[in-house]
Amino acid sequence: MKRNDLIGGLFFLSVGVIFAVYARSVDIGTLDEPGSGFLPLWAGVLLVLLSAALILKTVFKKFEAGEPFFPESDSWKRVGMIVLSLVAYNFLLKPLGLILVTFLFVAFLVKCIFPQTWLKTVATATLSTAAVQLIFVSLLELRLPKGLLGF
Amino acid sequence: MNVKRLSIVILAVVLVFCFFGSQAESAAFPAKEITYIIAFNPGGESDIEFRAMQPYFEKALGVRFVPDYKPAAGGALAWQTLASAKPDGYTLAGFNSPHIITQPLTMKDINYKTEEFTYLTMIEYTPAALVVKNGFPAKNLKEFIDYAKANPGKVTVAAVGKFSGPHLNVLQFMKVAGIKLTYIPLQGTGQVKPQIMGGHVDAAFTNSPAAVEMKGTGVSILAVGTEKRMAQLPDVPTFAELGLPIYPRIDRGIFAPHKLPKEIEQKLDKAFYSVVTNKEVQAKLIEAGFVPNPMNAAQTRKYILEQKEQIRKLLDDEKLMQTK
Amino acid sequence: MDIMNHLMQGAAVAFQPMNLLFCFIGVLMGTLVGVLPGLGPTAAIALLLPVSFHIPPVATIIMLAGIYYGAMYGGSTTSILVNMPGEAASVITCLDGHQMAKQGRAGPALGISAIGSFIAGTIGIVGVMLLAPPMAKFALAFGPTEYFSMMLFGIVIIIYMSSGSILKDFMTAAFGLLLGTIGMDAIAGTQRLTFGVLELADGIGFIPAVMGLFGISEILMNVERVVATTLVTEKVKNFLPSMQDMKESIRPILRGSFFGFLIGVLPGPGPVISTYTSYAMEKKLSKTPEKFGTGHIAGVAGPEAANNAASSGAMIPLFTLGIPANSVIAVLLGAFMIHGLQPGPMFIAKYPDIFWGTIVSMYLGNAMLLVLNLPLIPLWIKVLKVPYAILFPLILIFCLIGVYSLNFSQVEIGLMIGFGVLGYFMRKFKFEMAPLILALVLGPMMESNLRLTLLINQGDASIFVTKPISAVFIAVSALLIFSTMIPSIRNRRSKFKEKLGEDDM
Repeated sequence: MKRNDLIGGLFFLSVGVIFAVYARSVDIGTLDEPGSGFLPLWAGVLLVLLSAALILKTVFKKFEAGEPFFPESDSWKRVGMIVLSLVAYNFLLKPLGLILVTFLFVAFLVKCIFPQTWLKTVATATLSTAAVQLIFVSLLELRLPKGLLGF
Repeated sequence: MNVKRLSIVILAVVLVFCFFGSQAESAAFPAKEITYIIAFNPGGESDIEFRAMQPYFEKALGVRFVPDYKPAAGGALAWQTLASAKPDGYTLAGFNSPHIITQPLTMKDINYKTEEFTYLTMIEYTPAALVVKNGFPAKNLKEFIDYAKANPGKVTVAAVGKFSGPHLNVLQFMKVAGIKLTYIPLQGTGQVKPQIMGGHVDAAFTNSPAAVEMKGTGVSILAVGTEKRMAQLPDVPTFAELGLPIYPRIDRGIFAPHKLPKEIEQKLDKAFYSVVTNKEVQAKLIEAGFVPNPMNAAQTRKYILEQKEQIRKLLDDEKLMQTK
Repeated sequence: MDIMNHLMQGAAVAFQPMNLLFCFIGVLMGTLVGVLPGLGPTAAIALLLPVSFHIPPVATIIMLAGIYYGAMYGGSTTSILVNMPGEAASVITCLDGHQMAKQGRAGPALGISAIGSFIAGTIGIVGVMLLAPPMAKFALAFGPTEYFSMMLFGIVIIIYMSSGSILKDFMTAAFGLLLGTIGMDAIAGTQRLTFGVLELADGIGFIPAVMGLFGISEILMNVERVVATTLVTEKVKNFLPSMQDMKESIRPILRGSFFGFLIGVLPGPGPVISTYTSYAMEKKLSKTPEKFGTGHIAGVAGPEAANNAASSGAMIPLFTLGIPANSVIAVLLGAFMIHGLQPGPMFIAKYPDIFWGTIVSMYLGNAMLLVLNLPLIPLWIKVLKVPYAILFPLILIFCLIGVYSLNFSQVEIGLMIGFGVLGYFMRKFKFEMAPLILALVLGPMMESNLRLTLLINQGDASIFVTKPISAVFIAVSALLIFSTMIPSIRNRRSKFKEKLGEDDM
């Protein structure tokens, strides 16, 4: 897969460059007293060299048509929605509290990713929220955010 | 479309909830459970210390003490959390000295200051001991110092962390004894023990319970950092006894955020002091390897500030300070 | 015979009704936290520490040890069912275990890991009884030099054995090493690459990384297609391993137990490296190495046995030297200290009832786990039959809360999501995740051991090849890397690749 290897190679190449450059701003030290930057520098250099090798190999390879990135035309929508709702969960956990945000999160995903009936949606969300509350809060006594309403 | 409708509903619900919510403050302290931040791992010394005293605290104050573990960056995360907590007496933390002093002096990105806390009590300390590996040419502290003088920089001495309490102890020892050792910073007592027992380093500064455990493995304990000899190690001299006026150790106590209201401070001070001076509690602490060292709030603050001056001077001499 | 006496003495302790009860509570609790993603045995032990004040030391140790190996077992359940390793030692189980589940063979996979663990536990206990003192000496022979070489060997072996492109594997391993350098530099006592985020000061947590890379990214791959109605694409064949399964598994279990025990004695990365080594060994010895990674039962049996035997092995440095092999054992050590007990060279002689009682109870605990878990298998399989549209939000919610409950840190949830996206792209672009995970786990330890070695030996790097134990690891690692460059071996490797339809080298 020419295109994929190229993208992957470039990604890791830039990661390696970032770390290696950063390492130079930290103390690299000497061989008898290696500093903080010692490993980031050399591992970064190694990653750059390996990525360069991958890119070179790819450049000299014949182009071959691979499978498309997304197997279905609306795959990206579902993947994107899940990532966004995970991010939203993280931001809303503290302000809304565990129970509410868990309920909304499960309801949203059940209803919107592979749409289910409202009955199934509400039932799943209610049951899973209850399970979470029971296992993590009641049984394990974890101190999870209670939110503004106090639950 | 379902997605759209549901998103609107969710958005509305979120907004409604954001407008709710002022929590009523309660009058008499303490009215609810107290969160006690522990800066190290469950099962570590700070945890053991807290667990031994928890029932007594709860009895003295009549509310639950709930431990909240925040082990990261040698305690810095926990203390930073405390520094930014509300000074209402419901969030307290255990502190370790000299960590609480050295971190603001030597680490970047530390946004708490040693003096900007309300110190409530000092509980105990763990003395450090100097241990040498099996077969090391020196059999006592004097021979050790002579050997180190004859071979400057050749003797390796391991302890936990850099700019940590134990590291500071080593620096102090080198300064007072006038020797130069190669310092090997390890991560945790769990790592120090096998290194010294396996002979991978020449010497180690380790806490005394660990030294007691290593008795009988071939390592020799040269000196301990207490004022008097320890009951568990009757034949090991103290540094002071051997003419080195140092008491390498880690102090532990409890503190609250800066600007704690006076009446809450007094209440906690009184409650804690009654617990740390309780003979039953002290017996438990001794059993777990600590040396009880009770102080009240004022004494604790004074002690910490004095320590800070000494440490600042030591670090200055060694040119180890990152920030001023 | 002396050992028989000790065993009887231990049995007398372990079979006391109260100790049996605490053993049961321990393994049950362990299984539960092991199955819940994120929450690990350390959290569970911390949770139960207050209880330990009110019960005798033996009961405490028995209960806490039960949590430890119970969690090991529970962790493999999520690895197999939803491809989410709860800890580093169950990463390898995902490779074949989850493939088996997808083919409707979750039952045999779960069953063999229970049976394998039981057999390994048995072997481990015999090992502890016979070998505790000499093994303790062996562990002490490992200094920074030896650890570095061993971990280097661990990384080389996983790259050598992986089915993907060697070049890409080296890249992901290097990437893992770099990620491992984020956070507090334990040697210098300074922070690096944290961008001022204090939560990163102790580095990138393993749990958020592994749950993102394995769990979240798996879900992102699965939701791409609408067809995925349930996780199990084929009919569930049977609940328990067949005779054929047992025949294929017994040798890997025995080998895994033996080597797992030896490696487990070494403090630190022992259990993790033991699973990787066992997997690599089975693949090498197998007549059908191309089957590994596609749902081969030996790929589950060997590593599962290895990590269980390793956890028995880890008891040796704890009891004989007072050295905790990992963070869970460190909490156990804390529990000893609470009761005023100090493990060390004199411990076994001084407290034979505690030592032998614990050893015998570990054996009982393993038996309880088997009895507890085999009947649960049909229940777990029901979980797999839940329509995926409903199951995946539940997996996600358990991931989120599991990660959050570790340190109550929203930064860690963020990291998990980030790793989920990274893992998604890595899967798309055919980069293997196992080298990344192993390098991330071992990286910080490798770095500090490398730097300590240089520090202790005044910069003399030749020490790595002059010390015998280290030299062996380096030589074997070099040989493995070198052999991938020799054309004949390369051809053989790429033949496997063709069969697998994988990318070229």
